Amino acid sequence: MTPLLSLRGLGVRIGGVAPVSGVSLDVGRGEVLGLVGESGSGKSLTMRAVLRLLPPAAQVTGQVLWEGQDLTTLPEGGIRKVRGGQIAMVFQEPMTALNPVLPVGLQITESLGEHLGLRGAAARRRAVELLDQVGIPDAARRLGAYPHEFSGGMRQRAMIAIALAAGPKLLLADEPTTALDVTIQDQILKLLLRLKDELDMSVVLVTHDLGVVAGTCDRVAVLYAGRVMETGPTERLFTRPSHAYTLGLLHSLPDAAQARQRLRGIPGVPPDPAALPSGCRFAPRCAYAVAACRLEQPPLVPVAEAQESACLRAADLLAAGREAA
Amino acid sequence: MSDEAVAPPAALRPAATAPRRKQLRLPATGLLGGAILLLFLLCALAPWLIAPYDPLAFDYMAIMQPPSWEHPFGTDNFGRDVLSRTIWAAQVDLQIAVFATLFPAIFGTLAGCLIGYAGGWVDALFRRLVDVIVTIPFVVLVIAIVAVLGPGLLNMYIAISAVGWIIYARLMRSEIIAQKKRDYAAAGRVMGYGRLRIIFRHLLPNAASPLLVYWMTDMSLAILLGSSLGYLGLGAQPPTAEWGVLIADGKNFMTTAWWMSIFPGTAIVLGGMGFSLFGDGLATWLRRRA
Amino acid sequence: MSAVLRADDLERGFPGRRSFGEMLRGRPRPVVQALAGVSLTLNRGETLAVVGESGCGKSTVARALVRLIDLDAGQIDFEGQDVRTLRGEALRRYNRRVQMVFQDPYGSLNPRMTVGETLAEALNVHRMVPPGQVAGRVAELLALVRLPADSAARLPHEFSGGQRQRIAIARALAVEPEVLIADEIVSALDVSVQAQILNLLLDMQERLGLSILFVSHDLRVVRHLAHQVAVMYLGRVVELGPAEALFQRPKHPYTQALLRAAPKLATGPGSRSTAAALTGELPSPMNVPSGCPFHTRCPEAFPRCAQERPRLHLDPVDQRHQVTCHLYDGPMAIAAVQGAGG
Repeated sequence: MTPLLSLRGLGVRIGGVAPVSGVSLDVGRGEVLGLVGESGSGKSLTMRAVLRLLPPAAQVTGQVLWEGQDLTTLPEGGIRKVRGGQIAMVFQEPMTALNPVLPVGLQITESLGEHLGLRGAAARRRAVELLDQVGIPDAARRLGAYPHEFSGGMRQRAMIAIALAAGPKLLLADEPTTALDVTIQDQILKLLLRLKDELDMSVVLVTHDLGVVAGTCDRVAVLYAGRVMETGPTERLFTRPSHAYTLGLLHSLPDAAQARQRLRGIPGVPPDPAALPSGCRFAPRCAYAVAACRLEQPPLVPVAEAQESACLRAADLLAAGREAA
Repeated sequence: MSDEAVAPPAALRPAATAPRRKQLRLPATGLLGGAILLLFLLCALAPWLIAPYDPLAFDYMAIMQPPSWEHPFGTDNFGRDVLSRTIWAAQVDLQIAVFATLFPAIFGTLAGCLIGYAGGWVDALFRRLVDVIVTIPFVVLVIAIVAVLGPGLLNMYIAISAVGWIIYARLMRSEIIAQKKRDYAAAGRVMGYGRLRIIFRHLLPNAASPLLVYWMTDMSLAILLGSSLGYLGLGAQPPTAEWGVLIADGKNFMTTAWWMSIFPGTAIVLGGMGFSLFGDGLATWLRRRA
Repeated sequence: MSAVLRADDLERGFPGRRSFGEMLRGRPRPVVQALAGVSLTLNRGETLAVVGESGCGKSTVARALVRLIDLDAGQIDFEGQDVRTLRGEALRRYNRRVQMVFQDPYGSLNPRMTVGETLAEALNVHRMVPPGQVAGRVAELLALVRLPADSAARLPHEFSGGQRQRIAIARALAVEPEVLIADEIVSALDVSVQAQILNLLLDMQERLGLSILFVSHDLRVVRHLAHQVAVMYLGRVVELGPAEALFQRPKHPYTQALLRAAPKLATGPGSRSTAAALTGELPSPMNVPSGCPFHTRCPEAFPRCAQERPRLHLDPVDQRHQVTCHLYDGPMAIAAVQGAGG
């Protein structure tokens, strides 16, 4: 089966630097893909590149195949149909993504009119349904409310309702829960999972938190300094990571199941996109690096069933398993 | 902890800042402003080197002559060389720019710092004072004070200073209030630092940039104000060459000897532009550096 | 275990906002009760974690302990002296011994002072070393928090968030404090960097015998540091106890929900439930629910919860484990929680 969305060697260049390069990813139908990375990994830029939401100064290379059609070469009118219509996006900070001077209901009906031609009472009815669906209580009354009258969690729900208005097949969620409290984050993630099943969507969840991925995603792609380091099924990647960076991230992450003890972190900081190291971009911080790692960027190659890694030491890591090291 | 030991030191080094270095230069407009100011400064410091004639010397053989090779800016109704007078006037006008703003800037900064940090009733009192002062136009207030004290440069400085510090204090106060909310100010308090140390060592350097920029603009306003008062006969007194005075001297001859007012007028505009451009450039530069 | 810092019944309200219309109708200015009777004890050489969601008052506690915020009521006791009454020199001496590191690594360092100047200032003001040895001590401090020696000549903007947090820690340690208050110090950092800072704190505690009050919203992080944990909700401590007991046998329904909601690394069947750990939103702190403030979201709530403020209950086996909840009022109630909590 052909994937719904397929990135082929996607690169983004802004000024003299390339914060994203050679990203190849597939998103299957009905799948939740986790896109994990630290700040500067290029995860948000990749998402924006898909919908061509980057500033004009940014050059995009490679292909973004949406149901077989390359979005990077589509004319402006065509991309607008896809954007919001077939692929929708929710952002980290709903307060900046929502228009502060328009009632929430109007922002939903606007999208309904634009993409589905729904107007008047029909659009209103549908808007109430949508708000209801994302768990906003007393939806009919909240239609006239402004974003600032909502709490952070409710705003994110409203944002999701707007995104869902046109019945998209794919939802790009860019750190949708980072600004929220733990219990609210939990609610929003569960909501996304429920909506995915109800509406038969695919979801790409961009996050810096592997814990969020573990409970939510089917498959994971790990980004570092603008490149895909490893992809694979979530469970596989958490139990048998095949990239030294993935392993480092797993070791860095505190887990409520472990008592007072040191974490095996990763030393140093992610590289500046303007001064990337030669060879594997993780090599300078990597405890497993060998001389060959510093020579050439290792390609992303299959290392096991459905698991790909761009690590020269993948075989050793797989053999050792997660807890060794 | 072995992980840390394995790390090459390069990874722990501060991020490279190479692209930023280029931005650390003053922008072109700022450089232009700086060049203009430098020219005026030169005129002010050593007018006898640059001016071709004595600015006060009468020459009854050459009264009200239009611009020529001998007198590029022409001569006035007493035959004095307008170019030389304009150059010598730079001394007085730059002096006005500095002295009319120095006290307000320093006192206003100090007052603003203390008022902003103290807050509470001190701040409330100050805000009422500002409310009262801003209802009266600045120039009218200055003229009223000069009228009481009597004309002359010194009294003009006193008048401008008495009113001008409030603007600086208001600017500084709001900057200090903004900086006070930042965590490094709180960190200073937790470190057990004294109040004066926090205000002047920590808050002031971070709050000073807008003030510095405003000061530049204010100097250009001071030149204009000084010239206006000179023109009205309340500032510098003739025969002292001062741009406003020069324009006033020429106003009766505008139709017959336009050069008497136009060239000093151009100097005022240029001087004001110099300070403004330099101030703008300084603002951009400081913003980039922050 | 001896207490180094003890807070009793801290109370603090902040004036809230009211709309123009409310003002015209003569409504009184609402008060946000950030702290409504908070009591905590930090033991010497231990880490006490204060956990909760936004608006629970955890940062207010931290700031009140270092006297950045004045209290309306309550007592803070440090070695037998009442911290709330300290003034002038005595307050400065107290602040030297009870230090704080802030959440935002970009805001808590003076952007116009080099790292060396920042550290030297702390050393000089409190005369920690003779003037001739300041430079040497600065180098030692940088080494202690694992920053390169040439950092001293650099300005804060040349460092990453994690490195800045190291500088802030070095500044706090420069004055050789006994207590370190850490207010969300890793929440702005990347995961890999966060681990480095947490390890650094563990190291410092071991080497210097620091007592740490660690404020965080993240239970996972807390687990790695804390000896004792206090869970706060809307200005109150709802559960308090040794970390082990609190994580293994959480008593309060809110603690239980927080633990369930925290993203876990476990994968596989059962890890992807679609039921949220807790329904509903945090109530407005200006309008705290009657009775137990948690009853509006509590899955275990019964009528008494809306009417009566719950009392503090001590665990019969381990008296350090305390909970403020009606479920523990009587024998019947305990049966109820065993049935529901599992």
